[in-house]
Amino acid sequence: MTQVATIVTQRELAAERAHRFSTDWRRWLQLGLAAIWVFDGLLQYQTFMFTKGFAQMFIGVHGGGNPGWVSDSIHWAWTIVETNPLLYNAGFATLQLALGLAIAWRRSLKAALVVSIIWSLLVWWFAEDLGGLLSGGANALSGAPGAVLLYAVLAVLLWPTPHEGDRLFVAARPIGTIAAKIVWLVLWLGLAALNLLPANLTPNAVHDTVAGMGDGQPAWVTALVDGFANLTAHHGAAYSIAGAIIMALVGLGMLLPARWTRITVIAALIVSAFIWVVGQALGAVVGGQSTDVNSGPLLALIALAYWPSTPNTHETPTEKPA
Amino acid sequence: MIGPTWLAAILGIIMIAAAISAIARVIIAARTHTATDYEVDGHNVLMGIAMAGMLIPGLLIVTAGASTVAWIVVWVIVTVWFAISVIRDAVRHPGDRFTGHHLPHLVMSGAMVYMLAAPGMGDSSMSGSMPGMSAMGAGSSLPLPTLDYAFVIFMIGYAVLVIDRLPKIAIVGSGDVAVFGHLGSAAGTRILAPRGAALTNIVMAITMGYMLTMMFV
Repeated sequence: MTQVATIVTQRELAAERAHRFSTDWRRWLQLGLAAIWVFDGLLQYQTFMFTKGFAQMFIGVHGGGNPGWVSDSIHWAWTIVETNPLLYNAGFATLQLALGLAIAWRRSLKAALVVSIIWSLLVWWFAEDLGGLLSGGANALSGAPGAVLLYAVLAVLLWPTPHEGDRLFVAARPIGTIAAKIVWLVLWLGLAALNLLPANLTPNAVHDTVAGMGDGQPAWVTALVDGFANLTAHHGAAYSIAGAIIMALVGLGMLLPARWTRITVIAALIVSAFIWVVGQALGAVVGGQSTDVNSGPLLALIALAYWPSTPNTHETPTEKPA
Repeated sequence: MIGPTWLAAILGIIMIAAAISAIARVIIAARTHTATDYEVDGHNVLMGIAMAGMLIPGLLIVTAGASTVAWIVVWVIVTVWFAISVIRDAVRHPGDRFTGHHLPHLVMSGAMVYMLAAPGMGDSSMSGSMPGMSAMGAGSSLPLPTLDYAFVIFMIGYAVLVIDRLPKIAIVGSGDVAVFGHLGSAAGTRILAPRGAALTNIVMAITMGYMLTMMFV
């Protein structure tokens, strides 16, 4: 009888300890970020990335249109990577894979998020040309403000903090509700403003951004991208302005009363999905020359961090070493 | 198989090690009368050998022609086996949205069929077409890129989830069953080295994700 009671107690204790590692909404989003980093790491291991063509395509071509000190620094990075692309790319790929795995492992979560922020900013500068923000032609469809910058934003918004039940959504926990809403506003109003840059108001601005993105991708993706490109040909200004209005509404939606937050987030998810599928061809990963999944999934993850959530009193974001 | 030869060789060796560890689990479990998931262990043995063969054509495990066809037959059988397991789990535990832990292994088996059947993947004769690189694999003839994409996302998602649940797996002691929350008949039964079993699954999933990603070319 005593033995049975002991076994039952042990099982209950095990169940309780296991429950400590249940997954709350923020943890799901962290795992989403981890998965994207792992995917980036795997893409970085593709054959092309180990050639000099990688340095040329992803670093060497950048810099144009930027201030001299920016383009000089990008050129400097290119000359370094080009000397030994195999070695450098092996490091890049392994680091990104390790970042994903480390975010997924609870004990290393915080360290991984810190490193991911540093790495994201370096890549944003040297390989993403600061998202094209300084060169005048960036827009949401082309991946502005730079997909990798969004990794850093997510790392901050998903930073593990003690539970605070009064926070409306996950993104507010580490930086507070007001700061989180400012991040949202800057992101979406910034994307809207980019659409209104002169370069994005030319008759073929939208067409030229997406045309060809779908080449070599799954047939249904190619059809959607090509269809959108044809639709927007010669009507670039109208579509850019419409896109700016939609993104501005998404941004301003976060200022509405809390009951509108879900609708705002859903709208952001729809816009993110549209950008990712029609504008970015699912990251154009088929073809062996893509280093990441582009900004669509990151925008969606950020939006989900603003989804109004019911507090989970059992959450344990990080495992305490025994 | 495409990708740098040295990387494929490293992953191939890791796959062989994973297969050996799965064999060791079966032997140790039988000798010590400890529980283990024989289905998953057997699956990992086969997968480790087959993937090593694809990664290192020189091993002559998966080569062109009859050998590839034989492996496809093997993996179709394994896929059907796990499909039956998933259905059996669903019938026994209605309402369980993940239908136990056999689902990932079903998907992995399906991915093996896909990789072997895709043009060039099992064909070692294409090896050496590029100095310093393995053969160009599926190339532009990738038959079902959306399915390939879906497989990659699944493998990464599965690996990430298992890593996240490693502490829980260690506590519950039931391998990757704990990943999907439903213990069923495995509740209270500690399997041999649960974290080791989970790590094998993680390594398998990431390596398969890598191979599927290399097919994007």
